[in-house]
Amino acid sequence: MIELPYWARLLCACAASGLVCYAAAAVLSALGTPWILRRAQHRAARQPARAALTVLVWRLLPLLAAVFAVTFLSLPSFLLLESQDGAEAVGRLCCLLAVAGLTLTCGSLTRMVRAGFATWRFGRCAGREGERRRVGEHWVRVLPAPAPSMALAGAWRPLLTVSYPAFSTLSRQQLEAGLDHERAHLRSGDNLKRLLLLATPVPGGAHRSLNRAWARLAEWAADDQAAAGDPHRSLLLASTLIAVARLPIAPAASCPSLAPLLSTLDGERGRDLVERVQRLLSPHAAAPARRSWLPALAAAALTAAVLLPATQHLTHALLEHLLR
Amino acid sequence: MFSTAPSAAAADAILGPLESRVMEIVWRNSEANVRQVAALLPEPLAYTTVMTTLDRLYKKGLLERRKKSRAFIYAPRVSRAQWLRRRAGEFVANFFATPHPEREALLSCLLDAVEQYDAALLDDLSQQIRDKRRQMEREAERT
Repeated sequence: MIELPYWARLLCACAASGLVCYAAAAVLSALGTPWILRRAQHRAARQPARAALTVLVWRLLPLLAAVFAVTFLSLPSFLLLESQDGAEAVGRLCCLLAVAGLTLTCGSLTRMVRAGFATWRFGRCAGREGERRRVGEHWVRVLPAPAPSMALAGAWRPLLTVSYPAFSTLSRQQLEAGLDHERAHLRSGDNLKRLLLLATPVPGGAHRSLNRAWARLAEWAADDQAAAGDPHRSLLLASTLIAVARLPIAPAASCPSLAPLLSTLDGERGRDLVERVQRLLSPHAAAPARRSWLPALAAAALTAAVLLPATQHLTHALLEHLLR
Repeated sequence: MFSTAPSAAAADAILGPLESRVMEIVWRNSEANVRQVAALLPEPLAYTTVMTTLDRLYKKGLLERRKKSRAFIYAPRVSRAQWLRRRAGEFVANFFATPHPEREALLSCLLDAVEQYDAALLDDLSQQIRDKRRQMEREAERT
């Protein structure tokens, strides 16, 4: 047992309880992954955006569970019910869990900062090396190859980039169709979601499958949004995909963020492109964006407001148990 | 005879937007004088502006020039492919300099280039797109 003052015990309790919830949710998420993937697959053809959201939430379950447990359970119950007088003994296991929890948190924050920095570097390179051009209603940076043929870089103030080979090969309509696709990623906040994925590291194949499935569904959803149910735009986007796929590729030109996810698809070369083109050849009307999360959020907030005061004593008892 | 600028090493300098456009025109036409370049630019620019730009590109070592009558004829000294390779090298060197920063960059790409696509597969997909386009045109004509 180690004697710790009030604030150190608070940190210990939050970090340890967060880690326990994170681990439990990670196990649950891994176990339920095959079911979630089947469900997403079933929904993908007509509602890829919703399927992508389902997969993403399931993938982020450990992070959501840990944040919820610390913010709404551990922290309030400890602040309200724990006595601030003097130091109290804390068990070694709890200390170990707290250290692991803090390490995990620091690791996640480091990865997020590194990703932000790498993106900033890319943006800076693009700003310096690329030529600012207007394509329809989009301002883009035309980059010398090798660079991703067409990309949206960054989560805040994102930058649209086009490689010089793509810019000089694609027709103006094709460029606009491709950029509409990238704007769809922007509207969906996909780069921000990538940041959250980086902040939720979980070992195991199940989570890699969820990453791959999300990346694929996010592309489908962006295709649908860009086509907006218009068969002509859909066809134009399909021809853009083919034109981009035909561009000569330097090894370093691969899309950096997706490279670690998609390089594992070597055995199924071209499958995703075929599926995307086939979908665009028989487009579905994009499902209207339903704000289904708003009532769900309101219901969750109401339930929490009613139940949380009642659970504080129980939570505190569990925390005391964990600390000992 | 074409003359080359003494400071050819300066060719590594970054091109501005107008310089890029002018270079594109000279690359496309193999050679051109100031008036021809000005006529081919998408936006109307003063003769002297184009002349200054061409002179700057000559001094950067990207163009060579010879005198014909009283005007200079400019020709590319570096091919577009050579220029792109050089710029590409710089871009890659800049972005991929540190170990694996690219793995965590927040990028959404239209199509991942990790996959190398089979030409036959792409031809087949292009054919499907053409068929679909024809079908849509026929349907539009009928209605």
